[in-house]
Order: sequence, then C-alpha cells, then structure tokens
Amino acid sequence: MSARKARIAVALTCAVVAVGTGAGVFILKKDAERDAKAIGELNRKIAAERQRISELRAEWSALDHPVRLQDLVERHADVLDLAPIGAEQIVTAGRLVTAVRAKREEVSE
Amino acid sequence: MTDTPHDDGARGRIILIILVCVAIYGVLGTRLVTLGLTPAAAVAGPAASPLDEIQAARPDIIDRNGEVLATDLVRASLYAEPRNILDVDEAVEKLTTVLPEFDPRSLRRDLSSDRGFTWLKREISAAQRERVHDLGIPGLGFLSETRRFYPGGSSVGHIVGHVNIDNAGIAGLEKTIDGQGLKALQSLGLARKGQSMAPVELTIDLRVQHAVRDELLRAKERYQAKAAVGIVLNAKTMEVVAMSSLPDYDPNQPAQSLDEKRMNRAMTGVFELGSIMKTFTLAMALDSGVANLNDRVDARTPLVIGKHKISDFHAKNRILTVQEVFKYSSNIGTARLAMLVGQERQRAYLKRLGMMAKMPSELPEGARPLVPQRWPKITVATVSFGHGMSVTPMHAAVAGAAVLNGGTIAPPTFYPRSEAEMANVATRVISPRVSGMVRDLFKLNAAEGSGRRARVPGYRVGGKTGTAEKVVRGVYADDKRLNSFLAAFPMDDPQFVTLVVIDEPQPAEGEQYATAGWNAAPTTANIISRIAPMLSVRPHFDDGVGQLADLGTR
Repeated sequence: MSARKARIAVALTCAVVAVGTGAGVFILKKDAERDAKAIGELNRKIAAERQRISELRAEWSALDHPVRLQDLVERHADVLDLAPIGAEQIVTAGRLVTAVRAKREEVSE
Repeated sequence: MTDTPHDDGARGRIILIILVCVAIYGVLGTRLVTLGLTPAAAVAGPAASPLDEIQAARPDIIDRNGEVLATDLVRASLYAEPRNILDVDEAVEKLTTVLPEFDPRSLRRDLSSDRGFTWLKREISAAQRERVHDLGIPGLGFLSETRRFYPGGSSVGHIVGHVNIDNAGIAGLEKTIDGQGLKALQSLGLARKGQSMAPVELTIDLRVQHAVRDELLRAKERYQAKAAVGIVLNAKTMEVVAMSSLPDYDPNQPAQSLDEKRMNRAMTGVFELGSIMKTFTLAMALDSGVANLNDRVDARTPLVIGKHKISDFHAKNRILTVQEVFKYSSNIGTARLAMLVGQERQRAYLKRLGMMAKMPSELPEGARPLVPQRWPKITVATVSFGHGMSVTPMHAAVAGAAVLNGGTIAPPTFYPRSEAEMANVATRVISPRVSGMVRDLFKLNAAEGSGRRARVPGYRVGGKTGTAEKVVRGVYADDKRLNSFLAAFPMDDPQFVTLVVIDEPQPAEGEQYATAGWNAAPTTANIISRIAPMLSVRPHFDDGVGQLADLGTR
C-alpha cells in the first residue's frame, strides 16, 4: 500500500514540477517577447530620431549657408546696417585699455 | 510469481521507452528554456522593413567648423497591400486624419481592390511617416530611399564631388571616400542606414570658401573673364582652406558637371602661369648659390638665344639687381639667372617643387603638367618666367607655399593635418634662409612693385603678379591673357598662401590695363580683407596708432 502511495506522491510531484516549469518558461518567454518588441520599437525610434537630427542638421547648414546669409544681409541692408569687419577694428585687450584711458582723459579735460 | 525471460524483455522495453520519452521531453524543455532566454535584441522591431536594412549609407561630409557639406536624406514612401487590409473603412478614416490630402473615395477604391501592392504616396516626411506608423493599420508599410543632399551647393561642388544614382561616389571626395573602404563596409552590410558613421571632416572652411568664390564671381563679372580660380592654402600644413573654380557646378544637379566649362580648373586645368613662376626661378638661383640679392644682372638689351629673342614687358634697359629683376618682373634677368642655375639643376628644383608630376591629393581629379620633352637652352629661359611649361594652379600654390613657409613642401590635403604631421611628410626644397629672402622679395613687390593693389591695411600682404599671354593657334596672342597673383599673409611669417587666376580678363570700366596688377591683385586684396579675420590672423599696424586714432572717433 505504502509503495502505491509513494508512487502517487512521486507522480504528483512530477506533474506539479512539470506544470510549474512549463508555466515559468511560458511567462519568461512572454516577457522576453514583450521586451524584444519594446527594444525593437525603441531602436526604430532611435533610428528615426537620428534621421530627424541629420535632416535638421542639413536644414541648418542650408539656412546657415554664407550665400543665403549674405543675400539676406544685402536685402535688408537699410535695417541691419552691417559692414564687413576691418582690420582696424581688431585690437588686443591691452591696446583697448590704453585707448579707453586716453578717451577718458580726453573727456575729463 | 516467477521471473521468466519473457518478463525481462518486457521490462527492458518499458525502460527503453521511458528513457526515450524523457530524452525527447528533455530536449524540448531545454530548447524552450533557451528560446525564452535568448536576448531580445535578436528580434527586430515589427516596423523595420527589410529594405531599410540593405540601403547603403554614406558618412556625412563636414567642413572644419562642422557645417554639413553632404548628408544622406531618407525619403519614405507609403505603400499598401490591399489584400492584407482587414477593415478598409477604418483604414481610410484613420489615414485621412493624418494625410488630409487623400481623397477618401479614391483611397477606398484603392484599398478595396485585391491587389498585392499599391503606392499610396511617394516621398512623405519623417513626421508624417511617424504618424502613419502610429495608426497601426495592418497592410500599410514604408519603403525608404536614401538621397544624397549637398547643403553647401555650388560653393563646394568641386571639392565634395557627387554620387551616382546608386549612391556611389563618382567625383571629388565622395569618390575618394568610397575608395577608402566604404565600399567594402557596405558590401559587408556594416555601413547601413540608421547606424551612425563618423562624419568625414575636411580642412575647407565654408565661410572662407564662400568669400573666395564671391570675390571671384565679382571679379569675373567686373573683368568679363572667362573663368577664375582661387586657392587658399595653410602655408604651414598645406591644408586646403578654400578652392574655388568658376564656373562651377551644383552637386545637387550632377548633370551640370558634364559641361566642360564647369571643370575644376584649380586641379585639372593646366596653364602657362607666366611671371609667378619667376618666384621659383629666383628661389632656385638664390638657393643654389649662383646669385645673391644684390648681384647685378644685365637687362640692357633683349636676350637672344638661337632665333628667339626674349624681351621685357616693362623694359628698364639697364643693369638690374636681383631684387629689381623680381620687382620689375624682368624676363631677361630671370632667364639669365636660370641659365646660371643650369638645365639640370633647374629641372631638379622643379621636380622637388612638384611641378613635373601630377600633384598628389585626396581628390581623384588632377592633371599632369605639360612638361617639355626636350630641355634646350631656350626652354631653360622660357620656363624660368613661366612659358613653355603648363601646370595646374594648385601646383603653383603649393610650390609658392613651399618657398615661403621656410622651404618645406608636402602634397596639399583636404583632411586635417597638424604641423607635427606636416613635419613628418614634408621634404625640404630650399633653405630657410633663402625662404626668408623670397619673403622679402614678396614684401618688396607689394610695397613698390606690381603687387601694390593687393595691399590690405593691417595684414602685410606680399605677392607676385603673373600676366601670361595665351597661345592661340600656335602663337602668343597679346589680347588674350591669363592673369594670376600669388600672395601670402602676414608676410613676416606667412600663415596662408593665396593664388588667384583670372582667365582672359578685360580692362574694368574706367581702367586702361588688363594686366594682373589691375585685376588679380585687387581681387586678392578683397579676398584677404574678408578672410583674414575669419582665419584669426591678427592684424598688425606698423605705426601702432592707426587703430587707436580710429577707436577714438567711434
């Protein structure tokens, strides 16, 4: 009799373990699938975003092109009143200080 | 119960069956577990179409400040597989909310058909693509194509080149990039869309490039010239900062490049550059020790060699010093100096200056110079002042940078190169002492000689003019000229070398002359006054008060 009980117990344990692992693997797989989908989606979004960035960079380069800027500056010359920088406008900080000092003395006199 | 052989056999079979079953389920079980544990990355997102993966990508090309000169643009096209659409009404309703330009009736007709494939809309934007994708309608998909776009346009056409319909580089640096292993990467499937590739950085400065091109355009119009070339080199590293050849072409319309007039004259056009070559003759005369700056050269009478007579354009008819030979651009004096150098040494110097072979650079385009086959005395004389031998403007610019930068030469480059790297690849042409003398000659010529109109206040420009008569049907025509101006700034320690070549200029309105001093030199001045601040060259005034006085009034 005890032998039979033991056998039933073994069978039951086996069944429980089998169902348990089965269910575990199933859940694991579903999780993995969901993650894979999420990763794929993210990858796609990253690729799209990168594409968008490179499009924007290209657009910026087209907008920032000196030909276009020069054209705009010339067209709106009366408002902007811009002129190319001349060599005499570029000075070292030291010279600037001297010039400002000289100017101040001039004013105070 | 007795054990019989029969029983034994049955028991053995049962055990065998159990073992087999366990083994099979074991295998299935392990496989299930491994599948469940596989890293998710192996599964691609559902929206990625297989075509996305095979489209080859190219790296961006950017200038030295990061401005994009060439990039890939992806254009997605929306298609439908009507057979796989489950709910046509729902699909039509959703699609028209995102793409209102669709006509619901014709859309419904398209989607209700039993076809396997139909285009709905070509070339939709990335934002629209995203929104259609988010609708999640089954049976809709995207195919995307890569198109090369050049935001730099015509300004950099000759440098970046262009690609063919298969996105393979066929001209300019695009072709070079292919040759550097991009093709191999693409065929291995490593260079694909969506993967970031390191951009290719160039030495070109788009702002400088534009300034050079803009001034050349003005010069071309002002002097009604056929063509114009401008080159700006970093004298210390031979990096090409700008290179423009007009007329040029827009790489976004590659068909234009087939027009022969639009070829890159800076590297594929060969010209007899005339007097700027005297720079090199004087450099070799000084370096080989046959002459000193104050030596006297007889330029009283035209030089006669065989049946040829060499005379001067601005004839002084007196004995000149070597300095004066340069200042007055005396053909007679230069020829006499070249003959002192001698045929063999002259050729050796020219070879070291890179003038006897194609100028190596990253650009696939490049012309060989036209070098005379035989080299008699008359060739020694004519080559000394730039006739009888044709080189590309790039040859002259590089050689010019070499004799001015302290005497070292290296091939020009479009990829960044530091001064340390330059030291590794450079070879010596002339001694630093002689290079200093050439700089003095350039300074003198800009102060008192033909380069006066190239002066820019504050930037100490030095230069040499060249006015070459062009050969028309075998004889030199005196009304067709090729003018050039080779300059450097700042002259005491040149950082940049510029070369401007103007093809067949006419006198500008209100001017009588069309020699280089009247067109190529002022064009150079305009270019330098625009680009020097961009290139962070510090202006310097000898008197030191020009700036202060000016500041006071502001």
